Amino acid sequence: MNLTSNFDIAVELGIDSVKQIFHLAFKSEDLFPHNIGPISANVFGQAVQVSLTVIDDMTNPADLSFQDSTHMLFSIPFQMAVQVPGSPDPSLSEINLDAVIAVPGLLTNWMDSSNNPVLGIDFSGVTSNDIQVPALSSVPTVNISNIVAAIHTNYTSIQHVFALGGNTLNVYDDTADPSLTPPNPYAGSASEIQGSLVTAGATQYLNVVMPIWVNIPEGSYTSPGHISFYRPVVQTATSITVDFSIEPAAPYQTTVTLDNPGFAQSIAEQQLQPLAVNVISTFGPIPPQPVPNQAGAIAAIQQQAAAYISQRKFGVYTPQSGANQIQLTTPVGFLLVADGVLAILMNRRDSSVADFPPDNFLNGGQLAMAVGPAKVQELIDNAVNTQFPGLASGGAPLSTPQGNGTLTSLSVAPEDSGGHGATPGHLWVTGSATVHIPCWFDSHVNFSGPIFIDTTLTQTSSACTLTFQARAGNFNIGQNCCTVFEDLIVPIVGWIMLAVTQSMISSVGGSLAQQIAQGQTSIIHPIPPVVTGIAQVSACLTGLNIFAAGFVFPGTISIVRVTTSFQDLLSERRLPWPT
Amino acid sequence: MANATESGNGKSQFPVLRISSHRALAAAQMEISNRLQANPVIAALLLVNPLAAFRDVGVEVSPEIGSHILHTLQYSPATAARRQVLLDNLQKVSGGLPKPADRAWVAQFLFQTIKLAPLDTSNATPVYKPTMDPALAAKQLASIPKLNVAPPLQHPDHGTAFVFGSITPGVRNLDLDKPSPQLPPATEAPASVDLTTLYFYKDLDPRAHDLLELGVIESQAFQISSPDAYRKIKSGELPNPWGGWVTGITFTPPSQ
Repeated sequence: MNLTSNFDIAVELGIDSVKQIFHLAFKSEDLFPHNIGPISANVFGQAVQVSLTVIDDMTNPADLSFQDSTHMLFSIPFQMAVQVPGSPDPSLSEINLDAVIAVPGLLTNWMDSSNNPVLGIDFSGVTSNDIQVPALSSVPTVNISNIVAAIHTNYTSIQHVFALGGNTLNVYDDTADPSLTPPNPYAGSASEIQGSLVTAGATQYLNVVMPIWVNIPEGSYTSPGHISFYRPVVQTATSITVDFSIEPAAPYQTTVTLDNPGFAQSIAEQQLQPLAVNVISTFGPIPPQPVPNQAGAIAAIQQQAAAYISQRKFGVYTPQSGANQIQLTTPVGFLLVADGVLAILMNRRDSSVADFPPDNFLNGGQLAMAVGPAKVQELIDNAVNTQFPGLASGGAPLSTPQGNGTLTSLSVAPEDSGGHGATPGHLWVTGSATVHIPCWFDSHVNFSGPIFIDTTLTQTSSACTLTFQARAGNFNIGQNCCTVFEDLIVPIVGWIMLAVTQSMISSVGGSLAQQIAQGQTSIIHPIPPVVTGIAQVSACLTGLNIFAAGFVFPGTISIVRVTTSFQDLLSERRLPWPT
Repeated sequence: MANATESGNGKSQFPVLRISSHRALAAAQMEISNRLQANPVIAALLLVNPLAAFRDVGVEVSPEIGSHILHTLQYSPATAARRQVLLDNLQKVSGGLPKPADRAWVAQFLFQTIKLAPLDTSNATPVYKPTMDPALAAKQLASIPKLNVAPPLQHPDHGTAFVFGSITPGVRNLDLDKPSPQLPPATEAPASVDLTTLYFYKDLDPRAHDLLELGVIESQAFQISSPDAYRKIKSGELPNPWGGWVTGITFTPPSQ
């Protein structure tokens, strides 16, 4: 079992807790502005104004998953509004795209403005190529009505009366130009410019039929009629363009059809054809209509999302020592993808090997903290040597009411459940002592056995207290013989646990909330009580599991938002009144 | 193991060695040591009952020597001497062997022999000595790096408070030097008084103090199991009070 990798301390958070922190971070306007713009940008090949909105609510929730050992994949609802004031079709002057973007965030560390180490998610370096768009809706579909609408719009800005050799040609679009004489000779749909799309092989044509009226004085001929013409439609990933200046080859050439029969009818239709082409060219070229297809919309979203997200980062673990002169080591994070666990490692013990992830010791919970075997053994040895300073030099004198002796060796080591036949996990004590008996030669007693550490949790609405009580195992309760061992060994276990917890405090940036009373009480924040600017965290360590690989303290965690939202104020009727 | 079984049946592999004097005991040390070293299972049972273990390796001691061995194991010389003084003093008062562990005997001693008035001890707590050596505690605290250097952070209530349970104080930790609290009289003398309750009478009469001190000394005595209990422990009928903790006892002969 590998609890802390090549570090001394590890904290593991379940993915649900990480998600909670992310959701709270995402609610922070400072970290993630929810409404950006309008800003100038080049979108769909044009200089336009763009507004962006990121969302995380019940209807459109943001989410995250663990992608690999150092990346989380964030799923963020993303809206993009593109303003196209000069859009040929007024209805397409604003294009709104609703999408969900999937963005990788790098789990890394940095120093905050107060020079405190932060472990968090950094999006800098994210490019449009890194962003996926798994969902996209409301991509506008351009059909003939949009194109005809653009023609209607353009009609208002072109000339409507054309003269050629004394002859006159009026172009109508319903009653859009009431100054024309005569008025539109047609009624109903025939009075409007009409269009349709015609596909010919690989080319798509716009076929337009325009109502006209002609007056040929020399032939005493007047007649209503129509111009029918075809123009190729060119669609790219981001726009649609119809160039009215290009007359296609047969059979898609422009024709003029006059309604009134007469000898001049046929001649007039032929002679007016070139004029009709000129009339048509006055429509264009119409500026390209910015309208993306699916691929174009995705590319635009990727571009704008990258610009937005690459400026963002947020802290997940922001320890503080509580004292400026105490510099905590920078936490290192690993994601255990299959288990949904964020492992946070602190105090690198062995820098000769590359950092590597620990095992999952959450055991289905949302918070657990571990102290590695080397650190535990170091603290055990320190406690033993402090309690019995003579051990290193041959023996520590013992004096009890029963007699005197010399403790010649004592070792304590964490042991798995089942080790040496003792359950659960425990400290395995091995030692020897020489007993000095008057009128008798020295007796040497070898001893070994388990010390269990029982825990009791007391939890109220405002406090969480975990009590450790050492207990020598394998003894028959009530036997006075045991007090010799109890008095000898149990205090050491207390000092070991105090040292272990103090080590954790020093590593994770928790603090002593009160002076240690008789060396027995301290407060620890396994995860900093405040994730800077994001959340308040309450963590309660609820027990202790001892393994040969170290100590594990399982726990519970609750996370609440630091800041007050608009919704909070609204629900509490505390919205500010206008002054 | 087989030797031990044979010995348990009274059939020691060694010739019987009878010891009835201190001189003989001193002279037989090496022989006894050798016999025990040859029977490590029996040697480990020395802590249960040394005389019974001796018998299992063929060593028979006289009652006087047996008493000497047991008391030597149970008390240090200074403690044994103090115990003897207390026994002598109390025997003169009570006219018999003092029995501080016998609650009825203690009650009779307090209220009839030395005629103390009963106290209402129902809500009283005796004063105990620290179960942890204060000097050692100071050393341990000093040895833990960075202790107490960080000022409190915000939100102390968001963390976990750790409490390190100490050894539960018992009779052996009663502080005889601290004054006992003054208590109101009780309407009736109790029929039994344990040592914790006797604590509240220690300052009322030096004889009560002596009895309590004797009780504390005897509570700390190295506990010797009865011969019958020894037999059952050896056969596995009863668990060894030392559990699996004592894995072996060896001796350094005087010559070494």
